[in-house]
Amino acid sequence: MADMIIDPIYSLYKDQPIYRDLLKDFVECLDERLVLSSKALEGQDWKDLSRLMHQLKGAAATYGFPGLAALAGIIELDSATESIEEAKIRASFQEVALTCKKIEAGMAQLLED
Amino acid sequence: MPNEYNGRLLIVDDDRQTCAFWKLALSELGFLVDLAHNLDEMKDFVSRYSIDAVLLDLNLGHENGLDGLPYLVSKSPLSKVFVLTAHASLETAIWALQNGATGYITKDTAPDDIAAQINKHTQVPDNLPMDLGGGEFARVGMIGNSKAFQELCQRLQQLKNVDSTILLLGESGTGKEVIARSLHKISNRSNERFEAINCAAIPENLLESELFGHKRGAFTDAKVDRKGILELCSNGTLLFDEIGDMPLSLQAKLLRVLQERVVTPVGSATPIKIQTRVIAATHRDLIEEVQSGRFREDLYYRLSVVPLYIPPLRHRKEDIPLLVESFINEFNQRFNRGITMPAESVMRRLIAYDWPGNIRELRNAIERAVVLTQNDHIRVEDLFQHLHLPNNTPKKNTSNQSNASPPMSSPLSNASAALHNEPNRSSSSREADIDEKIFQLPLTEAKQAFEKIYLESLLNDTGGNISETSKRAGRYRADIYRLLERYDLHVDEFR
Repeated sequence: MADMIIDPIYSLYKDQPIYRDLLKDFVECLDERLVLSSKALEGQDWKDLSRLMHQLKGAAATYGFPGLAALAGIIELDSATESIEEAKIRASFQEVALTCKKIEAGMAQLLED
Repeated sequence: MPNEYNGRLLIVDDDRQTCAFWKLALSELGFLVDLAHNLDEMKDFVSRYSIDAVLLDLNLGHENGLDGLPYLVSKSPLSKVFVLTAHASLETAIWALQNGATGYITKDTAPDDIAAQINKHTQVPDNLPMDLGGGEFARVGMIGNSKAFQELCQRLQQLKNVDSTILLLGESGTGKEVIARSLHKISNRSNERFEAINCAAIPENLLESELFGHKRGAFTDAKVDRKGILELCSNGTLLFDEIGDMPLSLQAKLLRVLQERVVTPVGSATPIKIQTRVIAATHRDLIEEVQSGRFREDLYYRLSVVPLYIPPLRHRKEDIPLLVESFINEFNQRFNRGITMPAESVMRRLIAYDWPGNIRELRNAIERAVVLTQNDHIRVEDLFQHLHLPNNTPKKNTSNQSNASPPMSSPLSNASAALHNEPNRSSSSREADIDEKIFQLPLTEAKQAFEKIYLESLLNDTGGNISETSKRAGRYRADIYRLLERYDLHVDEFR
């Protein structure tokens, strides 16, 4: 629902037209990344979750989304520790999912302009 | 519009979207960008091309990017390696710096800043000191002061702005790629592309497309039009390294390119004019390759318009101290060490040794020594550790050599030394000697060692008669003279 998205998030590269298509692809694939990560989370495959979050962290930083990169980095570390705190990871994952929605909203607005 | 050409980059990262971003961003900033998603792909690229800089991700999914660092440092010493890291792994990045990486780049760095950081390390500074010998050539990475080196520099000066094809001949490790690069950097093409392609490392079916490019649909994987390396370097310089290993089928096509100065991409009927300056290099004896039918004679003559012989290090021993100094400085910086110049006695050993692997072997020895030495000075054992094989110890040790001392001559000359010392031995004892020693060596050195022993043996048997030697060897007299020169043999000694 549109009313759930309060603050759209934009890439640091939003004003550079040459990156527009790549940004669009990146944002379109966020869902796919979340689905894969969610499967790892549900299956308690912490190693895979950490790997996927590491990839998301790097890609988000590259594409100019430092907030998403930081959140993914938290899950990466939390799911790579000896004593897993599942509730904490789930809460962080919700934040990642919400941030992705905000990024999608930002992208949609950018494409409209 | 892309900026001026800044060099060839290899990005090693398992995330395809991250790679796509860097490829676009850095291509716009003047780099030719290749992508590898794992260490095997990285090694493949490094063996095929001359890469100016590598951006190596620390975490490659199921692989650790750092495991690729030693390979890059040893196999691609001219490449600057930057470790790509997210902000959480700075400690590891610092470890990487201490183990051969040039720098680290965090993934949130803006493309302009990344380009600046790479350029800072890959571009030749204008104000480099000229005290390494060679004047202008020192600035572009050639080091030396010997007569042989000065003569080489003089030839390069004459050739720098001439478009003729140049054939660089010389043993492995003599620095043919460095010389090709230097020639490009001092030429009037220096702002254009320099590319190097290793003909021995690219599969035959890929080499044609790499060289000439292809049209979309020309073959199954040709999804888009792609320019070949000859066209990409149209105003620049292209080095065909290991040209002697180029497949015969492609030799004919390359000949046509050199004659007509046009390329026709695979799947196209339209030729494209090019002005690429071609430099070819090989460690092989191309005349021998021609005679054996492995290399086209017409291509040989087309390539060898200006042949340039790069002397082996044993023929320019005066340059060894300068090279040692330069390598120590380089590795001190790379490995964050403070190793001083070797003591005079160590330097004497360095100069006395034959260096069959030439500058590459010297460089590797210094690198190993800088890494391994426990103190701030290099010991003889650190330098020659790789030669401490039991069978490599010369049979006749001089009284001032301890058991731990390294051999003073090369494995190649060690292998031949016994024959020289005992000229009247039977052929079976020669075979025993060959078995005993040559099998300790890498293939290239073993071949050379055998060639030298074989030649010495023939010269012994013929009393130094070149005509008879060439007849028995089934080779031209000129070939024999070339081999004498290569192995530093003097025919008078056999008469």
